[in-house]
Amino acid sequence: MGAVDPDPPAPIRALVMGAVDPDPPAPVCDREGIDMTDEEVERRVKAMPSPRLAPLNYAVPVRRHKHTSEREREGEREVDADVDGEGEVYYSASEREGECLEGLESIGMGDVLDTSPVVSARLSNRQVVIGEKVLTDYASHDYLGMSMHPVVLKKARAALRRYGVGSCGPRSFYGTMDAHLLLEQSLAKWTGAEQCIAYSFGQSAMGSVVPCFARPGDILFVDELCTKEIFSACTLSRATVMIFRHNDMESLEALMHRVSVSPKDRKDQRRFVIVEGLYKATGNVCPIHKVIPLAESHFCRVILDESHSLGVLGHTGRGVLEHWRDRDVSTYTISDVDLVTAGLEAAVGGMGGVCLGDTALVEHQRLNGIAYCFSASCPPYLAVAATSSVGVLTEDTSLVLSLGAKCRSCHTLLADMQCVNRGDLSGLGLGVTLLTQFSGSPIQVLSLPSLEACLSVQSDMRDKGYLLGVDRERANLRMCVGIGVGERDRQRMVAELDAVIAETLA
Amino acid sequence: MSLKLLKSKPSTTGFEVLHECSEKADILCTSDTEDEPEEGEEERESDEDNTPLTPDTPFGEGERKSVTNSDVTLVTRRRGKESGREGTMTAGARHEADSRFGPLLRNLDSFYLKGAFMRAKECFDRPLCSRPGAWIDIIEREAEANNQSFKLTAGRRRCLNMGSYNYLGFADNSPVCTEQVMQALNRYGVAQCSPSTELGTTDLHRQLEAEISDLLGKDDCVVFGQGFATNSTALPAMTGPGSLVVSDSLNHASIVTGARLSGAEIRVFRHNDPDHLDGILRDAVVNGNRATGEPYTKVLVLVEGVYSMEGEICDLPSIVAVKNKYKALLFVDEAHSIGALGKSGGGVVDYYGMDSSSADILMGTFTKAFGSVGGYVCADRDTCAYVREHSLATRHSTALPTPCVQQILSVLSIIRHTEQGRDRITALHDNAVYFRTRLQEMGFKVYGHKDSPVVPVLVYHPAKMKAVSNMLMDRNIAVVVVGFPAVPIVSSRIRFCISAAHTREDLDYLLGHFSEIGDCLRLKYNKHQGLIA
Repeated sequence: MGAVDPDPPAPIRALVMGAVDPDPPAPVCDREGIDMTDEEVERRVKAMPSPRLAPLNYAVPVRRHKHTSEREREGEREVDADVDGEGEVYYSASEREGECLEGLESIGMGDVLDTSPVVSARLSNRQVVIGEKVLTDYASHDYLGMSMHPVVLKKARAALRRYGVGSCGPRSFYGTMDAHLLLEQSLAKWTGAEQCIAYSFGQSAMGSVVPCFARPGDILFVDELCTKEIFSACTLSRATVMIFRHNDMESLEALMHRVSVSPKDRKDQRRFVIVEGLYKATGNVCPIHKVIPLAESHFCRVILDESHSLGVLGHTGRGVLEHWRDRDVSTYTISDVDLVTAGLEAAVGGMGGVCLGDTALVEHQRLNGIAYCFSASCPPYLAVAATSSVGVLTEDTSLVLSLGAKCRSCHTLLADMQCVNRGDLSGLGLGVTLLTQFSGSPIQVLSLPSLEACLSVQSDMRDKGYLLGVDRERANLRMCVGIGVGERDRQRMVAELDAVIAETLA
Repeated sequence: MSLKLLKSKPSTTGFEVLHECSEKADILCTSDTEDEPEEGEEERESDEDNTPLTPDTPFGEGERKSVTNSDVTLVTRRRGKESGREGTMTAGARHEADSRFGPLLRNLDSFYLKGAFMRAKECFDRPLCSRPGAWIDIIEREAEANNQSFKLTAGRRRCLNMGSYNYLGFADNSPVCTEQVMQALNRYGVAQCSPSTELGTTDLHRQLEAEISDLLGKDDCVVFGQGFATNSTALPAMTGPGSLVVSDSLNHASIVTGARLSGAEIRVFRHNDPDHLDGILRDAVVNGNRATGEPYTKVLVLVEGVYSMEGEICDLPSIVAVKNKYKALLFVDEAHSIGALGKSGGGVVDYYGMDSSSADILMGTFTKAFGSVGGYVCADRDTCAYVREHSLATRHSTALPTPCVQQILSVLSIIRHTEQGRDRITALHDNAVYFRTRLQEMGFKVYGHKDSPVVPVLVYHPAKMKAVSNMLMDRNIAVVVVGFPAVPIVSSRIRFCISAAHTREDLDYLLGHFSEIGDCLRLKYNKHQGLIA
């Protein structure tokens, strides 16, 4: 097979190995292999316990990552000498994540299984029926109520009649409907990007983009609080992952300095900074206007995930870049970011993901984006729904502004709660902090001392008629502010929450 | 007869195309977005001549100018200059031109891309404006800039669809399903916008899980939002460092992704070869972990029910015997077999009439036979609970939208409880057997198992692949051509996906034309055996 690119990117290589090599090479043993007689093998198998998939103890596999500085202190390895190592992970994360994961293990996952509520109807964007009871939804990410918006529903109905539900094939095999092309066009037009590619699942966008462009030997600078999907995409690319402190430009710069060797030595190495526009983990906004020049000066590309910021930030909802433009601190537009990915599963109210960027880079994904090539395209009705959500957002920017106002009011209420620790040492000293510093965020995150407390507060609040989200990895309570909730209800919810937390932690 | 001649005279013998182009009643948008010329249209290369490829040289005329990486960069640069926005060139293009950033698109230079793919690009991504049913409306396109991009025209072509995975024909209009789906849409909205472990689970999801586990005879079932994500996130939840994954060499990319993300050791066995699998499992038992020699915590064998590129059905009985011999676990990906194989549509286990416990984990997708989207993992209660709790997709990504769930439920109730459903399963099987037998009689080289609904026909030559696709398109038949990298470059193939919605008349129409093309392009390798080297 002289025709094969000597070093194709990861997805293609996987296929080449799978498809072209009908006779895989014999396993390379590090040790001398032994052989046994058939009887001996049989005896050994008999002695083996019967296999089971789920482990007996429900423990989360925690990879123990060491602090980058810790590594250095121990003199284990010099980071510089090592950055060409395959798929290495360097953490400079705070210890908090590790602590919480241990907490999760100790309570035993068996106790928290199957507690997810079963919805039997959705009355409006923020009113769900569970069992016989109507509850207010502070957990789902449909901030603007697009999944129930009358215009969107009307278009979705028409599309269902016209196309049916599924697309019955990947994009290249008759799975491309005009609906998909329209979605790509309208999103590119709305955001101002050159081109757009649509994936059928939110996590697929990042999960394909990173492995498509990064390969072993490249370096990814990732914010420590990026979602798990992003970290899984990074693992898949087998590039070196370097993790900087949340929204901390100094930490990022310090990491960049470490790998900055002379351009000659770097050869074809590519470096990427991966950040989220609005972090799902904290509800904070990424200072992208600081990330871009920093990345530029260290010859890094920027991949920005706008899953939770698109349709939320900026006065017209065009995302985090507009957010900083509005504040007159930046003039960056989407064309200053190499690649923007976004799930359409939050404010857009559908399912699927997109990647926006330069034409050449986007077209490249149509052959190399693994989930684009090898998974069925998204149902045409969802593409139509997303297109019309974007249409609604373009026409009516008051939705975004009104969401911002609701978020700010919710933030103020939460920050004023009795139980929350504040800088001036007021509050009850229960170890509860409001992690969200950005008041306009639709995701407001409260940090509680333990996961048990989170789960207990969540279930007590459910009894009182409010559905909250829990970030199990970090033991945080998450409240998603939706446009369909009135001020009165919000006040009641916060008052209840305050009481419940105080009671739980007392 | 020359190829050009054939192309100019689309034959209409035998069968008259009854279906007319569907009305262009556009529900989507006004025409301003639809027909808007794409950016960069002005760079259309004028030296483009549209001579068709001849099958004589590997990829058509050898000297023809090919698109390389530098061309792409040039085009991008030129675009910046022409439109007077050199300073506002996108960061992507700017960084690509700057060597200090390292090139992203290096492999665009690859031999295959410039030599073959760009020239056959019109065979892929053909856009539809209808349901992916037995007959589809394809939007005609005009190639631009050396095939680099396409401009949609107002032309529509009604084609027989041999490409979509519409095995049971549920992509075609089925009023019962549509009505139920509408109700689900009204009741729950367009999508869930919440993971299934948070607020994404509805009673319909629970019902679907119960239905699927009942169909497959397992304890429990977990439903995912996407088929690809089912494999790529459920496998990492089930295996991990310290365990061994033994994967068939032709497994789908999603399985490869999942196995890689799991961190388990991966070994590959020859496609559908139980003896090779036996050797690997034996070595795993005897020698343990390759690096440390420690015994594996678990050994998971990954196979597919029907291999989509080969049309082969997995040799389940032998594989089950081998995995039981070594106490390994078996994961069967039924993406193409669920609904399509077996007397009651229960997939490959049902097809072989085996006990439901013979495979430990049954995974499948709803994209194919069910005409919806999403995937499931079906296994014992503990495994399902664990997967639900630990898979990235169920914990962090959005749940399957309820209209999609309702579509699957409607289809399940039809195939499980009505005469019509059983008829569809029988029709699919009959169609597949009939079509395959006729092709073989004609002398085509057909891959795969006799009962498989996927019928790949070997054309070997990449240029013939393009020729067949375009000639069939001229005759209003839409087929999928498969080339590198999905299959080896010299075993390019045409893949027919048979559907229960195809009538005998449809298939005869196709067979008549395909036979004609087969004679013209010398594709009947079993007949013209002396002609292949």
